[in-house]
Amino acid sequence: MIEVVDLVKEYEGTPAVQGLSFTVQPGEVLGLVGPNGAGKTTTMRCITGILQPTGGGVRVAGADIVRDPVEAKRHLAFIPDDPQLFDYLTIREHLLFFGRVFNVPDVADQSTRLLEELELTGKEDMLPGQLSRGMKQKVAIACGLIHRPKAVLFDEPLTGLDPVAIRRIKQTIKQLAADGSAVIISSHLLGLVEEIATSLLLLQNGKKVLHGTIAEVRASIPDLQGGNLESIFLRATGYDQPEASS
Amino acid sequence: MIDRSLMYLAARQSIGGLKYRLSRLKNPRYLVPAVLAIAYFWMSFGFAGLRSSERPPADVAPLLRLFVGPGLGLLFAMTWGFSPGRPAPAFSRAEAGQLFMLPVSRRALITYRLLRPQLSFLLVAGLAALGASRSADVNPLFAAGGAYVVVNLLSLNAMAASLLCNRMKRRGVPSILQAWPGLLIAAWVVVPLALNWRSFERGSEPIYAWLRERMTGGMAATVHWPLKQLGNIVGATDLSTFGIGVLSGVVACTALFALCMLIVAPFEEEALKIAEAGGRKLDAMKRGGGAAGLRLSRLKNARSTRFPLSPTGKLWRGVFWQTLVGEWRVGTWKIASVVAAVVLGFSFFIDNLGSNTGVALMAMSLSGLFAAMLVLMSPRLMVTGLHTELRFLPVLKALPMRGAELLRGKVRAGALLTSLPAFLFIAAMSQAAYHFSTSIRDASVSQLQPILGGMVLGAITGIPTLAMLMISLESSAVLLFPAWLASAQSEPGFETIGRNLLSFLVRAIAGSIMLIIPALFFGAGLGGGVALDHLTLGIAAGSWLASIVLLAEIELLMHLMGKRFDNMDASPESA
Repeated sequence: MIEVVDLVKEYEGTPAVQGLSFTVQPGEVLGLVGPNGAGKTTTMRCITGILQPTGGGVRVAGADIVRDPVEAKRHLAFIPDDPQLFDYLTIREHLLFFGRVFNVPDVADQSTRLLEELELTGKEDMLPGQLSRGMKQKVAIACGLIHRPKAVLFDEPLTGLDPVAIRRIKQTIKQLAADGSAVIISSHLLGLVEEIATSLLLLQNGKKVLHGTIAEVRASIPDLQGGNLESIFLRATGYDQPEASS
Repeated sequence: MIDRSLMYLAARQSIGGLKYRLSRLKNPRYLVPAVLAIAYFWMSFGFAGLRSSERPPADVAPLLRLFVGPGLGLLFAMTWGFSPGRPAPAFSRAEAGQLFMLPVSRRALITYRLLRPQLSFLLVAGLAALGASRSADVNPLFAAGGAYVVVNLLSLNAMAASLLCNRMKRRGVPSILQAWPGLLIAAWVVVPLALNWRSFERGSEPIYAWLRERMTGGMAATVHWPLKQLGNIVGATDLSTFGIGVLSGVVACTALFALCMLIVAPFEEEALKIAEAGGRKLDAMKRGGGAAGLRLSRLKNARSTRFPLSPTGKLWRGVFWQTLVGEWRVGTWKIASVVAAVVLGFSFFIDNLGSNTGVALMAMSLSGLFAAMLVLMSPRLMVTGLHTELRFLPVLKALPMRGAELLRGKVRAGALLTSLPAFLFIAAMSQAAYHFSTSIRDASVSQLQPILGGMVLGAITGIPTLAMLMISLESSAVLLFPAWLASAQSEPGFETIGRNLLSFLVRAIAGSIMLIIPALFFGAGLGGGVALDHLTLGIAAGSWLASIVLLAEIELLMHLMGKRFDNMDASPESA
């Protein structure tokens, strides 16, 4: 569903992503992790077409994001870490607008379903300025899911949310995968990734360090068998060196 | 009373801010606008000190001495009058969030708050000196010193007013009664002037002598003595007058500072509320710009629109709907349309007055005032393109639509919103012009009527097309120079003047170039009309032809800029 081939992105000559390749299949939840500045957000923005890759390619549902961006974006949803909502539109108007942009014929039914699912019912006439951060995040998710996307990208989806909202959004992500969407989650919350991701991609300095299913990743560092994702992360990124054998 | 750590903070904040602003001049994005801003000030003030032979023989000092004192008195009164709504000192969000938790006294916090803007006050003093250099009789040094004392006095007055209101609020005094010091000060300023009132008799005395008698004679001579001394600080021409003025100012500052220290009461809760509200307004202004941002920060209740949007169809119509619904809610167009309708109403009123010239004059003055309001609103009316949605570029870029479609929706919605008040305004102006052309029995003036008729007909297509041109140029600037415009919104400063000038110049040049071919078509239409001896039709036909050509050019521009949008990096970092 999402196919990244030899992706390169440079900012004025400084490489942010270097030759990255991976695929995400329908029903798969890929956890994209890495230290700050590893290139996670740049990768996500290249996949969504917000940034133009310097080299390599990205295909979403078979459409190339550079050559045929409109077709590729029709199948995509990107939920950024800082939900950007239009200040002057109410929640209902947001859903109507996104429904129109994605040509969703049953936008009214779909809106009602999403509002209920994300516990936003009764807030349809509110402006973003009247909502808490968590509520805004839910609205951004509702806007992203209005067209039943085949590929969904979440950038730090749980930042600033309360436990109830966290549980709700985790359920939504799992449901998306169960319905056949390819999901990528970029997060520093390794517990979250461990809980809902089926595969893992660890980036450092724009390069792939580890990639595979959670089991494959665990198996790749034999002396940490049984350890949690945090131990694997620290070891793979060089922040936690193995003790020298005496 | 003065906490050393807070002193350090105030100094570091001022110096750090100055250093940052200077260091960012290495970047052409700031350097070019800064150079332009300096050039603007050079042309405005002329730096008379460098070419003293050109200094005009002004008589500014006597006027300053007359008006600065009572003007300051009224400012003091207004500050006290508005303080019940802001019953605490104004701290920034960061200050409120950090400093209130520190083990420092409230008096130290107030002292810090008074010291913090001193660098800005010095800048004001410098500008006063620069302004004074244009006048032959105002000493720049006196003007600078006077301005510095005056701004400190205003700052201390605002602090004292907010602290006293805070104290009264804590004691349960109703807001309406908290304004009593303001009323007292206003009475102190206005009553002696009112008692001095006598109408001006033209020809019997010079206007300055009449003014001086009204402002300083009778009761005002004694009651306004302190105010007069404050006026003397800025408008002094000799050292002794300046000295007495400064001494009075320093005494007033000391008294107000002592009052602040005396009446201070717990203000943190109210100050936090004010800081939050101020921060929200600032955020909203950065996002929405000016008045629209302010209105947005106050917008509490909304109801989803009933304006329909079909779930499928052309994508630009979705953007058109989003812009129309959102921008209409913010309200600048609503206000502008009402103002334009009022101007139109006045124009009909004047037309039906007959010979009552007094009322006509009043109505004309009012319509002139409203027209000026409309002109002031016009920059905001033009900003409906991508300018206010810079931070949404990544969101818009992630949507499955071409840049040209996005621009088409934005530009067409903006043109529609701008056209309504513009049509009303043009109708009002035409009505007024028609009134005068019929009331003056002069053959050359009455020939205006066919021209006016043609202009009104031509405006039907001309106004929306010109609005589209302006908005498409605005959006093109966003797409071509996103970083420049983003920094203008998020980091305002001295360079903003230059940046606005540059932006205006670039758009004016681009717009003029785009108008060359339509102007030729207008000329052709007009020529045809003149040949057929039908001026009205000629102007209208010329305007319609020009509009069609201009529309084609705008479509081409949107196509090119749409391609630019499709290929650009739209991350917040790159913007």
